[in-house]
Amino acid sequence: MSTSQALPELAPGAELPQRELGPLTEGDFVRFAGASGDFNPLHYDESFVTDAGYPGLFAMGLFPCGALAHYLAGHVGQTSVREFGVRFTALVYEGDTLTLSARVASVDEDEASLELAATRQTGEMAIRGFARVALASEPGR
Amino acid sequence: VIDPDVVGQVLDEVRMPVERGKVLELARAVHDDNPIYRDPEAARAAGFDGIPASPILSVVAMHWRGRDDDRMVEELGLDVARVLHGEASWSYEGPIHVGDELHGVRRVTDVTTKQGSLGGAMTIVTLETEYTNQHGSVVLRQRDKLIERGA
Repeated sequence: MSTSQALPELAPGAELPQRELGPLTEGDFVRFAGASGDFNPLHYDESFVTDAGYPGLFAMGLFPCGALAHYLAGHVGQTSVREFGVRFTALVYEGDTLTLSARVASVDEDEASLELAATRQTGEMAIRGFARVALASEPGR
Repeated sequence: VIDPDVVGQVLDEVRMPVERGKVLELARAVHDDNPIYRDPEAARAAGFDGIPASPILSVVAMHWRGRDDDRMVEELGLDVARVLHGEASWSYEGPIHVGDELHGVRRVTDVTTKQGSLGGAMTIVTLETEYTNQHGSVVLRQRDKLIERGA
């Protein structure tokens, strides 16, 4: 794709514009549960969660992960993304506001390597992400 | 305790359609209002052959496998209560659009045991799910790392 979208300059050190997501609500978790099919009660059943010893409802890891994947695709064009991955590093709680960010770590011949993060308002990184992004558009992808 | 011979073994298979409603639901759930995920005209104007799948579309496999992943984790010989989903990644090998039919085959690709920093052996199991479309092309590979903390 996408000739209609101006792709950002993916030079080493370049950063994508950050995006804030939140404050996250129980409704956000329920909506993602319905979309994904992950109905673990840890994400919407307050008494289940407190009985299990957690301070409150928290997001399924794939929710902030998915937000980060869509954030990246929105900026570089979905067909440019060759690989996207995450490490789940901290829980995201109801009421949190996440900052989504991405930075170009390195560039070689035909692709850029990016480091991404979803960071809680406390400064704690909830998702550490990485991606490989093609420098030229790849219609076959 | 996990049997190291599970490496290479097929855990399960899933057949699933790429549904227009699911693509929209996933995009809305992560607050992405890009019209390519709901409007075929907007998708075409952006150069797609149809509404593209969300980059995390494969999460809906949970709907189609007909069993939850806790059962899969138990069958691997892991203790569900000590297992965390540590990492996930997707390699995008080809285009996926609404209307496609995907066939996913999930395998164990690695089992590693190491001494945890707090004592007790930690087991890391890597799974790979390869998705093939209705034309027989591999379009997506998903990798997951499950971490079983020491008892």
